[in-house]
Amino acid sequence: MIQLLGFILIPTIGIIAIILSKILHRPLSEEKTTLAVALATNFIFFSGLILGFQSFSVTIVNSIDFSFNFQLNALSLPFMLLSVVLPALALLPAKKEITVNKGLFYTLYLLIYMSLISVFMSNNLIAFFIFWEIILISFFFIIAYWGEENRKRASMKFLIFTQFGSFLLLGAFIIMFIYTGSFTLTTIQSGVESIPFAVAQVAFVFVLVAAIIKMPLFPLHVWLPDAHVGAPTVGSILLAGVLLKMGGYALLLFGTLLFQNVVRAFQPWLMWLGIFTAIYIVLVASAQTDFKRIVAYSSVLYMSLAFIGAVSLTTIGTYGAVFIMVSHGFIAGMLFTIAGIMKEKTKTREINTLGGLNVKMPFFGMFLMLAIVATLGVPGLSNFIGEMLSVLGGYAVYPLVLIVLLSILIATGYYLNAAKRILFGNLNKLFVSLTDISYIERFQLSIFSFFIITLGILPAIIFNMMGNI
Amino acid sequence: MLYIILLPMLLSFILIPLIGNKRFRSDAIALMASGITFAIALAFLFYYLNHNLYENFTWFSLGGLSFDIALLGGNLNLIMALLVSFISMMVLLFSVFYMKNEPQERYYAEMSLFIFSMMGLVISGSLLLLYIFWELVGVSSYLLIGFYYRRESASAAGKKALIMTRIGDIAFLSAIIILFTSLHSFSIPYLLNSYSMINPTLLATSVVLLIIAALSKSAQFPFYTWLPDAMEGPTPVSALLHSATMVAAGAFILVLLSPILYATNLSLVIVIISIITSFIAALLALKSIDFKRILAYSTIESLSFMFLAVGVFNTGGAVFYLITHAVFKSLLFLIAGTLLILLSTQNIYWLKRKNLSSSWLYFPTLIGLFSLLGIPPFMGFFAHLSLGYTFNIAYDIIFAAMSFLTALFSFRLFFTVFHSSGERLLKPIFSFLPIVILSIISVMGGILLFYLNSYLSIPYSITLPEIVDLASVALGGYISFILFYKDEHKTGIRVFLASSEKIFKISYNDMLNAFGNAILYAGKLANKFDFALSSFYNDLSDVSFKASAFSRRFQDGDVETYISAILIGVLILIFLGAIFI
Repeated sequence: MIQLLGFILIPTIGIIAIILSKILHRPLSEEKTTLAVALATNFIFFSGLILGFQSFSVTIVNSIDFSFNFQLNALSLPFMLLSVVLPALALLPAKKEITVNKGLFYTLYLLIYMSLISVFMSNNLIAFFIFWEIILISFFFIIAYWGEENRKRASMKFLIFTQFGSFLLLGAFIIMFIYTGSFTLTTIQSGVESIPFAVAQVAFVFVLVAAIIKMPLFPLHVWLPDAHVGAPTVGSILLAGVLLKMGGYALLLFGTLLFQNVVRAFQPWLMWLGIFTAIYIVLVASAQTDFKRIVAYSSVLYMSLAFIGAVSLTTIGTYGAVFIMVSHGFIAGMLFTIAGIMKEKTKTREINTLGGLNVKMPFFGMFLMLAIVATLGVPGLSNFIGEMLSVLGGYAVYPLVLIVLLSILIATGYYLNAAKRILFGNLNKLFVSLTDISYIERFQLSIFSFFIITLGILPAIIFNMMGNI
Repeated sequence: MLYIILLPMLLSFILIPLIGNKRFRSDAIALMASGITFAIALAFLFYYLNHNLYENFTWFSLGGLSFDIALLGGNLNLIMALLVSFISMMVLLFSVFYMKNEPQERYYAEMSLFIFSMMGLVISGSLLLLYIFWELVGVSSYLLIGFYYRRESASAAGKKALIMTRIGDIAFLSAIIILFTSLHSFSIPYLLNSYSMINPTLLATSVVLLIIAALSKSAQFPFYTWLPDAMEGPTPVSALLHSATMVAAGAFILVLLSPILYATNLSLVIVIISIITSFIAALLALKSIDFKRILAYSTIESLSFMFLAVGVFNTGGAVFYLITHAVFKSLLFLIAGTLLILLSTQNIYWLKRKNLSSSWLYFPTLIGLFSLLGIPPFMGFFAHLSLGYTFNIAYDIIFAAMSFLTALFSFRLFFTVFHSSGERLLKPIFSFLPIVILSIISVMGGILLFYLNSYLSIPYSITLPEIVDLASVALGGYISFILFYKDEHKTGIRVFLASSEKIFKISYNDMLNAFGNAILYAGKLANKFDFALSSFYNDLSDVSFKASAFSRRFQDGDVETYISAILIGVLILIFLGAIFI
């Protein structure tokens, strides 16, 4: 058995080591420390998948039911998989990009790493909220200090939007506490019936708006593209890979699984919110010429598919929602990594100025093609399962959901166009001296590909990680 | 056990990137794999005909529903598997000749993936698996069509092919979702037995969606434009994808799912679309001057014959025509490919100057075209016998007109390319061998009809309309002889060609482009709106910045202000705590 507390302890040791080395002026490579932490965390996570995990609980304040209670719920493990693996994979772009203030960066990075994992295993809502806030604040600093263009404005936008969502979430938690007398998730789940319908509606709307901001959905998605373009590659990988999934996780755990009656009452509206967001966002994405923006907008498409699956309240839809979030975590991570490599090599991400890169960089082309094909939901790769299950779940309760598949068609159009502009055609003279990606980059992208292909062929891995819903 | 058929090509796809070009030649691996596939398919046909094998595997199950992938070994599936593996083998053989100067690993790996997907498609026993392979066929064809990626037109053609067929994929997925929600099973045999349990409206909707899927994959009206462009790919790719396999998949699923098709009275739609398509294709073939493009239009026309047969409740005829078409069309494509490599042109008027009548390709071309035209005793004649079995008088007349047009463009091709004699072409073994084998089958293959009719229930008869057809072919051939062999500068035909171009090519492409532009325009509008939305929030934040500038006054560095603020805060906290705790 693996003690869940380990996921807190290992990053904490890393943080202490980095801080001590700064204070004592002992040379210690921050990158190597962080890598060691990441590897250790991965090791205990995958051992835990085989051996099982042991819960941990320590009460801090009894009167308001504040404890650090780490216990896996039905949704924990798939999201933990993302939050354990992706930050480790994002270290490679981080090593290249982060050249100033490394000590602070890796401290924040490990803080995020620890909190990400903890968010998904916290059974106590106060603890959940604390970790949630640590992530947002630390991420704000990452964009603000190490970001690219317009980072100040992007980081402020990110902070204001997501903080607003956090407070709504806190409001929902307080409502739950008032009526069930507990901040413990398992207690709330069993006592949720005692919340009157009118209050439950309010609580659900709080959670919903928080999720609309965090996932994000129309009309509160505008912070996302700016944050992505502003963030360094490592930030984008974390943002699309895990941070957005926190919104989906909160929606499932505190929204649809808790307030099923309320969801049923609003179901057609919620479905249309998902459908509209999907169609709207692919139209917006089709007008973009910056590859990173294309990927950023497209993340909203997959989150809205997850939203449709989640609000369908069917078993298939719920599993589909979780699956598409996990799958999109890896695919978006891969696409953002590639966008970062592209920027590093060619100094641009404008698809109209690129061209013919496949001539010089066949491995780069292969991985980009794989990621694009995966993101378009081609069977055998992971997104297909998620898309199919989410739409299947949505169709079972609201047949018009099938319209949402049109968005995938439009996405096919602009992604293939991007692939053609970047990879195919004649090589632009500016790029004659390009070299293919390095072995370590190939290794990193292969790990992404490994997860994408494995989950696409053996989706039961994720389903078995989840409990009964 | 049926999965054994799929293993060799899958292994080849995995092995070529790993060991290809290092220890083994990629072409050898792919060729060997396809040979083994063919042998296995033959063995299955030999041992399991009429056994209706059905093997079910559960992929995963959720909420009491199982997502099954099943393999089906009915007569249709096994015969299709044999056909696909045979044509693949021939094409790979030809590729050794054609692709010898191209990147081997990439070509053979993509080819293996394609053949694997196509083999999987024809033996799928569950809609889920069928869809999986259907999509994989689409993606691998995208890669193959865009093989010469440095050429702008080739990568554009690949993109176009995938987007066009993806319309059908989306329709297919929707149909599967509807059927699965109604039946709680993906199994095809179960679907064919119990479709009566499905709500008729839902059944009709899903059939319409399936028809759209088939039309887009088979390049029928209104989706046909991707196929001629796809000729940008290497010729062996065209020979495989656009004769026997990918485009035939559309007709194949309609035949496979014909019981639900016939339960919904939608077959007339298919008939009308196929007639429209065949006329457009024949006219476009008549004006084209590119050998491969003429074959592409001819393929669209032949596919529309299959759809026509399905539409008139003659699935057996459709299948036999599919088999026949696979043989003669891949033969003709291989001839075009050989000419392209040896003489480096596929323009028929340039080929005319090469004096090809005395070359060894003269008779294979003639055989292929005679088979296309249904002239006895070639294989196509027997296909026409079964194709026209259930035609009524109206269809007979239409079909005779079609035969006339087909003869016109076929003989135009023939008389132009083989105009005069003189040149003696090389006989590269890897091109000669498949062409000869396919020619022999095109000549003798007709007897297969009498062998297959008991397994696939292919009806056939020699009737008066068949003789009328032959007469119209002869007429077409004669007119073609006068127009194109004796003198191609007749003004009448010029006017005719020009008008056909105006009617069908330009306006229709404009329409499609307009549709694409409309989506792009909608995207631009949405983007503008999104920008406005974003700046709206920016304005909001400016207001809050101003507010913060106001509140900043309280943060004046005066310790007393801070202490009083802290006190007020603590008081509020205590007050809140008293309420909640």
